[in-house]
Amino acid sequence: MIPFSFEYHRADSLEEAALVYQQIQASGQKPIYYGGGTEILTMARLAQIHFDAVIDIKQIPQCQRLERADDAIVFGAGVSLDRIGQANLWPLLSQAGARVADHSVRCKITLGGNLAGTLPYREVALPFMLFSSDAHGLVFGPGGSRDVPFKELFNGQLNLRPGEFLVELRVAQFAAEVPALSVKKTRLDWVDYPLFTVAMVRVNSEIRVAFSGVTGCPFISDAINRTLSAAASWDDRAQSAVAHISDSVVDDLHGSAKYRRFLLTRTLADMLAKIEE
Amino acid sequence: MFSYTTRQSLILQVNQDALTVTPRPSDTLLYTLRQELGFTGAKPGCENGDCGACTVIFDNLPLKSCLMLTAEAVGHEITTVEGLHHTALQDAFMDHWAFQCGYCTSGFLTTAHALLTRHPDADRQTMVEWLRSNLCRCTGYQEIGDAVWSVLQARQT
Ligand SMILES: Cc1cc2nc3c(=O)[nH]c(=O)nc-3n(C[C@H](O)[C@H](O)[C@H](O)COP(=O)(O)OP(=O)(O)OC[C@H]3O[C@@H](n4cnc5c(N)ncnc54)[C@H](O)[C@@H]3O)c2cc1C
Ligand code: FES
Ligand code: FES
Repeated sequence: MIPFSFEYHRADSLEEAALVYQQIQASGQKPIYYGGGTEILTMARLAQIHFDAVIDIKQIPQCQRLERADDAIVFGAGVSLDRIGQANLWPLLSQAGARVADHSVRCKITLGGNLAGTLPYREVALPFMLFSSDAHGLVFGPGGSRDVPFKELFNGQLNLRPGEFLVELRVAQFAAEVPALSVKKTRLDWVDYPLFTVAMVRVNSEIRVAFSGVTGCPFISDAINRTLSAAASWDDRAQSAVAHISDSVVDDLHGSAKYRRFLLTRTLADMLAKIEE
Repeated sequence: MFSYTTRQSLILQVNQDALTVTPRPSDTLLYTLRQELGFTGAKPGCENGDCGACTVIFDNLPLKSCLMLTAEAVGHEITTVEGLHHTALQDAFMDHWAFQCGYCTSGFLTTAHALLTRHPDADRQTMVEWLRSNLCRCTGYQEIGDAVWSVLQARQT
């Protein structure tokens, strides 16, 4: 049972959502946007967050888009990870999304919620990070809508101005046409938070990787990408890439930093072999 | 805009009946199903989205009712285990000894029932992927998998 009361508002349009947010705030109360609600409800039950009202944005038509449009693929922020997998417009995103939580929870977790959540993994951000120059987000807030390059929108966490929410993400169609892999390693169970997750693509001869679970938040590194794209054996490149990762590798009950580095090296070498075959 | 700001009457579609409830806006669907409507087949386990004991069928998809607000469920079709009557799946659970204490059973039945509806052609891997949403602390999962698989196979032949 959730130990405090709050209001529920379900918006039908972007304008309605932003307006009710501002009205609640102007009355001295705290509103939050609500996607799948899975994080909000679990944290509220434990009184780890407090707010006075939720504004459910997932049924707003723009937040439900899931389609090809012009030379891009559009993913509404209110679309569930299960629907993204079913539509499979971008196999890499489907693969990364298919390892978040379990199937029933994926029927509720939204794309926007996974990127905006406070849990540090944000695994579905990884495919977009690999194409950050070819991906954009549409956000909406008190100042209307803004089109933001993914590079500015997300640097391990979502950067929004006060009162804004994510409406959709768009990525160039070619992102779905290059060789790509997503690998998640967990400590023991198939369904768990990651020891780490790695997404890798090959664009011509260039290798790009993005990581979650290795350090405090998802990251991508030009130095690592250059190392992995160099002419050397898979093992040598994997070793040099992991050597580039700073001292802040996560060291917790799921796995020590040393174990994460070891497993990451093996995983990168295997992924390189597969993607360059 | 649908705003539900204080305890009022709401209509929920549960097991093909329109039922009136008066939850707080912050009540979860799990809480309302059990405390107001008496559908105790939806079990509270972790209330954290992990165990699946609270699973109901929501517009033909399995959904953990601890992860949904009651107000969010307005306008949708909900089926709890009480809405499944003498199905082949329930018989298969008995035939395969797919439960011991039974606490997880309603969650497995609703997840599996949604699978049969949505993917009657599911292969074993898809079945396992769906059933991974639910935890059982008594059986070794083998019996549960065998029960669900037997119904899928019967439908596919
Ligand atoms: C059982 C369980 C298992 C999980 N396993 C994994 C896992 O394996 N890997 C992983 O990466 N994550 C995992 N998560 C974390 C989950 O992906 C995040 O908690 C995510 O925030 C949930 O998405 P949601 O749509 O339910 O978000 P909500 O609970 O609705 O919202 C979470 C936060 O995001 C904000 N928000 C939501 N939508 C938007 C939007 N469109 N614009 C701006 N802000 C928004 C909300 O205000 C809130 O602060 C798990 C969560 C649960 C409950
Ligand atoms: S009680 Fe809902 S998942 Fe455990
Ligand atoms: S039969 Fe006891 S938890 Fe599954």
